[in-house]
Amino acid sequence: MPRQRLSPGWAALNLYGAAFLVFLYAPLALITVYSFNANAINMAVWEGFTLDWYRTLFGMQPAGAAFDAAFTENPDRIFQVLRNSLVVALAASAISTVIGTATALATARYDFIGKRIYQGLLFLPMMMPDIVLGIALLIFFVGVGFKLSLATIIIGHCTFLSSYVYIIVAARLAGMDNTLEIASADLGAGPLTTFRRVTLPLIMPGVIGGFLLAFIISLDDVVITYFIAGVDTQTLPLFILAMMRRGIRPQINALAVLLIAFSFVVASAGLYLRSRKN
Amino acid sequence: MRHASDHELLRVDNVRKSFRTPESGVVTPLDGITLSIRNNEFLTLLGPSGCGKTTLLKTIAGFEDLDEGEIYLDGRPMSGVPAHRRPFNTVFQNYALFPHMTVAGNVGYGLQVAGVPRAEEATRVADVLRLVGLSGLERRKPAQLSGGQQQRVALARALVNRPRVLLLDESLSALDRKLRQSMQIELKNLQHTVGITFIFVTHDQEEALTMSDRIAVMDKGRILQLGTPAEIYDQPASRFVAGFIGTSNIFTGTLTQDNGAARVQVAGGPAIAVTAGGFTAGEQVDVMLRPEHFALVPGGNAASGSIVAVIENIVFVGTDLHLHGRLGNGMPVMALERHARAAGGLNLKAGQTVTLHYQATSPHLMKSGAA
Ligand SMILES: Nc1ncnc2c1ncn2[C@@H]1O[C@H](COP(=O)(O)OP(=O)(O)OP(=O)(O)O)[C@@H](O)[C@H]1O
Ligand SMILES: [Mg+2]
Repeated sequence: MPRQRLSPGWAALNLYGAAFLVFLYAPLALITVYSFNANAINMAVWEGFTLDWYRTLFGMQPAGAAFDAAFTENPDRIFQVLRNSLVVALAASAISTVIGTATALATARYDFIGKRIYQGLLFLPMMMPDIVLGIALLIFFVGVGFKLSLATIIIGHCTFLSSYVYIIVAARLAGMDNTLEIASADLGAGPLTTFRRVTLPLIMPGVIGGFLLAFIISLDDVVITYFIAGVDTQTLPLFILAMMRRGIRPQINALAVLLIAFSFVVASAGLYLRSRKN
Repeated sequence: MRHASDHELLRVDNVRKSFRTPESGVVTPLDGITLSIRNNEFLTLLGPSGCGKTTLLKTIAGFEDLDEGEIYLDGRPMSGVPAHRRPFNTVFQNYALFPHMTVAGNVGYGLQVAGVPRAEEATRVADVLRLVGLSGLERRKPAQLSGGQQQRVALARALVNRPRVLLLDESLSALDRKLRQSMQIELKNLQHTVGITFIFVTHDQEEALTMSDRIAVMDKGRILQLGTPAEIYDQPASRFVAGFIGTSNIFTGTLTQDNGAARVQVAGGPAIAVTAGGFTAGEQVDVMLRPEHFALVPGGNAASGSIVAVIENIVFVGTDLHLHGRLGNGMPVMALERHARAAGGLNLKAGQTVTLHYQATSPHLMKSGAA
């Protein structure tokens, strides 16, 4: 093995691996650096370290620098869109987790007519282009007379997030021995007790993983949300998009870095829980 | 001390169960099974792999619905009663331990579900773990146990609930000989002290003979014979049953009667003197002679009540020698000789011709071609 490690092929593989990581993370690293750059006009030119962009993001006017009011965001607005995003992400991923888990249990444990077709249809919302789904949802909500609001965003997100949760939990269930549920019944446990004490604990990593994935996807969804958000119900990604229209401002970098950090924490937690055996 | 009573506890009444298989066929692991199990009995199901033993246990426990027939507990039909309401516990062939619970958690599960107080649960779990020799491993997870230890956890998990009926699916198979024997004794003790009825599946015929009050020999979803170990051993109903328990020599021939002397004339082979109760002359029959029925004399001296064979192979198994030989017509035959006697002067060798004597009452007649 040690010989092999020194071989040109091995070196090339290592190089490729490193290059791939750079490719993935260079933009994120760059935006992180920019978010601390004091240069307000041209962020590609380093002018010294500053936390001003983070401060102005939350309405704190740094002293000493020449900031006009236009550079400072309205903190009420930021907190409101942040709140909207979190409410949507939490509600949609919680509802989707329940629906997706229940669906996975049903398809894993029972046979019914048209099961294969049903399983196929569950994949479809994931495969469908977001823009199609967004337009379809908009037409639907308008058609049935729903006023566009946070609720319509939540409902819209549930339609495709349930599929993600379903797939993750179904994979977990496929690896679970169903004689364990039989054994639980044999020992006198009714269906509810069996679910609570045997099935749920065993699929829990999948359930939590599915929830976190759904949460992250919901949190940063732009396309679908764009169609089904009401005029006064902006989410964070839509807010960033609106900020961009006014030009790329340094605050956007700061906001992006905060989002990256948050996603990183949630994704790590999800990965950890999924890899943890039982 | 409790003994198997004549009171019928469980009745399996003409039960039928088929599965559709992916090979687009249908298997019928239970093809009209009728079985009456007495209170406090130790009943063993014996049969080749795939004959339906596990399926029978599953239908009794309530994990499989029946296609036909009914199972009664104390005369009460069980078909509407879900598995978790039946006073039975199963030790699964694949153990089915809960991987996310400790040994103590697994064993205590049934008691927790039944609402047994914590303190009582703790003592009963400790007791049963001591019984199966696993004290000190309470906090391990199943993945941290050996196969034999897992099997004993499965046994303890079922035993601790003191069910009316305990269903054991090859539940001692992973244990070494010593451990297995001590578990056998413990199970028999429990049968008498606690009064549990056992339905036991095993592939080990010795285990079946020593443990059972009765044995049911199964094949292809049917019960071929049900009887005490001695009945099954001495009077098997068919060649199949005889072949399944113990070693036997089975010859097929025609029954002849002349002047009250009954014989079975083996085609191209010897005539075997028999007592022909229940069979008529001219019938095709199978004759069974157990290896221990023969008394061996050196030299070839064919007379009535004996057959002549040439020894091909001598296998030493401790107290006994197993002698594998052939008759004049090439049919294999097996005899048993005490090692002590053989060593003391007989001086048996491969290639030697011997005469095997038997009592006329020893050969057991069976219908030829019977299932
Ligand atoms: N769910 C099922 N679907 C299809 N066939 C099945 C199913 N369960 C069992 N069988 C078939 O039924 C037959 C009996 O199976 P069973 O498990 O009862 O055998 P067994 O006597 O316990 O065998 P072993 O001694 O190998 O454990 C086998 O041929 C098996 O393939
Ligand atoms: Mg089996």
